[in-house]
Amino acid sequence: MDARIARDRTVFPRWRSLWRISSSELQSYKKNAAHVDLGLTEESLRFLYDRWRERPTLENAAEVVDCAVRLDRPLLAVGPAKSILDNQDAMPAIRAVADFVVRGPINSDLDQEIPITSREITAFKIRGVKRRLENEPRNGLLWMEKARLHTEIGDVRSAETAIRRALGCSPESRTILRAFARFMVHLDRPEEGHDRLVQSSIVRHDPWIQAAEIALADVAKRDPVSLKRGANALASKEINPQQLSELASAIATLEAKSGKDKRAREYFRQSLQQPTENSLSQAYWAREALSIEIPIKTSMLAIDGAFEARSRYCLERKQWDKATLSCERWLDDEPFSIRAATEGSHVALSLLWNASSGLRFCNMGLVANPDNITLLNNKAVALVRLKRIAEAEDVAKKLRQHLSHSEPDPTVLATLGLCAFARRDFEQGRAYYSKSVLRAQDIGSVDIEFRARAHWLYEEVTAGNLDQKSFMKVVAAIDGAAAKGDIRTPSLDTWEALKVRAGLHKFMDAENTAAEIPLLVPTE
Amino acid sequence: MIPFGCAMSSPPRPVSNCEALVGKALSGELKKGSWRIIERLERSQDGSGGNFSVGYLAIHEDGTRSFCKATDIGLLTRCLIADPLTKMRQALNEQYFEREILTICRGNNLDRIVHALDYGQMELVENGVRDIVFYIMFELASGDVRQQVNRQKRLGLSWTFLALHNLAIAIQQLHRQRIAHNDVKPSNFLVFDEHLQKLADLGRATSETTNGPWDTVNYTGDHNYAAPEFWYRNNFPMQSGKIAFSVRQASDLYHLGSMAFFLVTGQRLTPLMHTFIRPEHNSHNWRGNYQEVLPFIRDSFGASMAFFDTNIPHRPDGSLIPEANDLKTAICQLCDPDPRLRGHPSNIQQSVDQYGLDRFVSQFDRGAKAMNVHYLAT
Repeated sequence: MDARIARDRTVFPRWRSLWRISSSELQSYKKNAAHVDLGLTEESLRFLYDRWRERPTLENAAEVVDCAVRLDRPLLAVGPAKSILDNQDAMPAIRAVADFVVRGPINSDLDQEIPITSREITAFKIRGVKRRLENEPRNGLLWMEKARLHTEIGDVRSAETAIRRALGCSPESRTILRAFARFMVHLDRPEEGHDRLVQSSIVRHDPWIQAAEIALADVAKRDPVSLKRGANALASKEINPQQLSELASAIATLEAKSGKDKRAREYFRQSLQQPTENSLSQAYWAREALSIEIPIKTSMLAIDGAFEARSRYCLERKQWDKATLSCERWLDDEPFSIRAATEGSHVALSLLWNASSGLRFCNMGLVANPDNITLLNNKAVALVRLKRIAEAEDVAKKLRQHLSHSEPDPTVLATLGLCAFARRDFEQGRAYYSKSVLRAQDIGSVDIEFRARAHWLYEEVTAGNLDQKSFMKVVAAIDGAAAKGDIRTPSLDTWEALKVRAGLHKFMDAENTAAEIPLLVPTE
Repeated sequence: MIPFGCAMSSPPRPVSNCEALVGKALSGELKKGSWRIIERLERSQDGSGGNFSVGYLAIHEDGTRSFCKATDIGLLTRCLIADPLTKMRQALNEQYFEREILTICRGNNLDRIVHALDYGQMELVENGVRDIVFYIMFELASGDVRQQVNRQKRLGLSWTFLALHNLAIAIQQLHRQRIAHNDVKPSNFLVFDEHLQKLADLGRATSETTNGPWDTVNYTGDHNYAAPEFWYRNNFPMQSGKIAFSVRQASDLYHLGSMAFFLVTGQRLTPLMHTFIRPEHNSHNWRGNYQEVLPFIRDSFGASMAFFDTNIPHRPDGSLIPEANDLKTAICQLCDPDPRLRGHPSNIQQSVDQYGLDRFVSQFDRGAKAMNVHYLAT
């Protein structure tokens, strides 16, 4: 049903196109380096500028513009650049540089630009990248971009070939190694990603690679190799705090999971000195999921591209519509991210109660992850809510197939119950919900058990199977279970939404005791 | 920031003796008779981006016309602020070294290098200031190749192949003498006639066999044309107290490819690449080493190469004509941002002289001939 697979979060690297990678991640982590004498000074530029003023030819203007670009002083060459743009005889490449001087560099602003993602556009982009690769077979970043685009449309085989080519071209590139690690997590093969990170030589000193290594080791249930080095780097204060943010966050998460809350809190604080959007999201997640007290300044949400953190902030404040919008931006930013799609569909379906929006999230997520059970599950829920029962049945078929060859997932069982209720097969519906409750008990998940009952109750009410008195009785019992304190906040929020909506329904007059429906009422 | 020309135009500078040579007669050490200075030519920068010399048109008694490059201590000291004495000695060393290199070129018949016809020095008193003027007389060309920026004045692909053939031979001739030019750029590539172009200005050259003033300097040429490995902090291998000759050769290869790019597109490759680099990777901001930034440089090089296609004739099906395609491949090989992969792939695979230019010389020659045949046929 409204499953959230993203129970466990680690600071996996984000994987964006080159122009959208955050500035801090692209910078070198080194604090000081020897000054590079460019051999060019403003004196040289002045000389060329004066010569252009004496003889304003195209040749002289082009030399001023080129020198200004090299000196990183484009504003000093605006005049010559404009003269080039006004000259019809200027060659296209010269015009391009002049245009760069006049307009300035393209700065990626994740908050302003909304990438348009559709299968057709992605396919078009892949064709463009392929054409460039014919001429640039050694361009690792281009292979990486090809892999990312293939991942967006769910073609993971081509993506894997491309990302391996990228690694072959630049085996020690931080950007490519992190992309590879993220891709391996996407493929659910974190061990391979971890192996590759450990093999690289830069894992010994690069905090970004160390952060990724620790995160992947966590998922792969391995011992991280960078823990000690990372802790030393964090203690030494020789590196800019922003460069260490994700490393601190990764170590903090590990400490928190092993119950060392005090140290975890310290590392989280360090990660928030100059946070990246990823470490900020991690802090929000840890605050809720691991119940660690982490003071987070709201102003940090202004970080470019902090969509996930903003969605968590809105969820904390029960601003469901804003949370949905942030999830949409998050999914646009990382179209292959399962978490963005599941989080968005969960908020839209269970809290905002907007089935169309929920369906949109699922469909977008399913492009890159066509077999993801959680997304299929949520899609079935959305279709039922939209009364598109036949389509919901098609999705339910896939869910049943999944059940046939894997351990039964209580959430999927509950969704199959929902589908059965939708086709008014109450017996089967109750059977599935019962199985879901029992399965949740088997695996010891009080939270899922709670949610299964909450949804079941809602279906019974909307099907007209309960009178108001019985309804109130069951609500009181479920409330009692909620009060025990093992239920997660999103589940409680879902329950509140279900309760209100169920209460709005017309109840039947005749008494139909809830006691006749075994397992619906939680036992003491 | 106030643009130049608004409120920042340069204050007038005192005239140095070497700037007032028009009408004077100079005698040299190689040629009997004197040279008369006729007119001052357009100012140009020297390799460092400074302005340490002045150019003149000079005519010998026997009617030989030449380009006179003159400098003096006054001009050198004016341009050099810190530690003028050391810098002056260094500048004089440069003068003598350039003469030495030119002598080697002359002695070995390097026919694609602009030769020194004469050189000398002379004490001059101008406005009560006594100074020694140093000068070198070079073969006089009809112009350089900077006009390629102009769509109307530029010459076609057939000529481009011919010019590149001459340039490749020039660099090859120098490399065979274990000399690296280090400052190959359009203003140093002089046109004598449609079929003959020569490489000029060995003021920034380095030699494997002769000690010179630039032996330990990472990059000696004009930084607007520098190969990307020189944009960043980089520890180059040293040999006998000098930067290894292979580093210099690789740089010259980049310059050759960069010149090919310029002749086709009219744009210098190095600044164009800069427009595709994110500010984080700009040499002013990057704190890491070159290997770390290399993938991004390679990407910007690839993006820049897209401009090549827009200036080249295409077939009706949209593909490049074969000669143009070969030229594009050659540029990619000559300008590979990783100096370890620069050069002809066959040379690299066979572990022979990686930076050897034989194959490129042949390729440009073939290209020129093929284009000529094509031109005649159509």
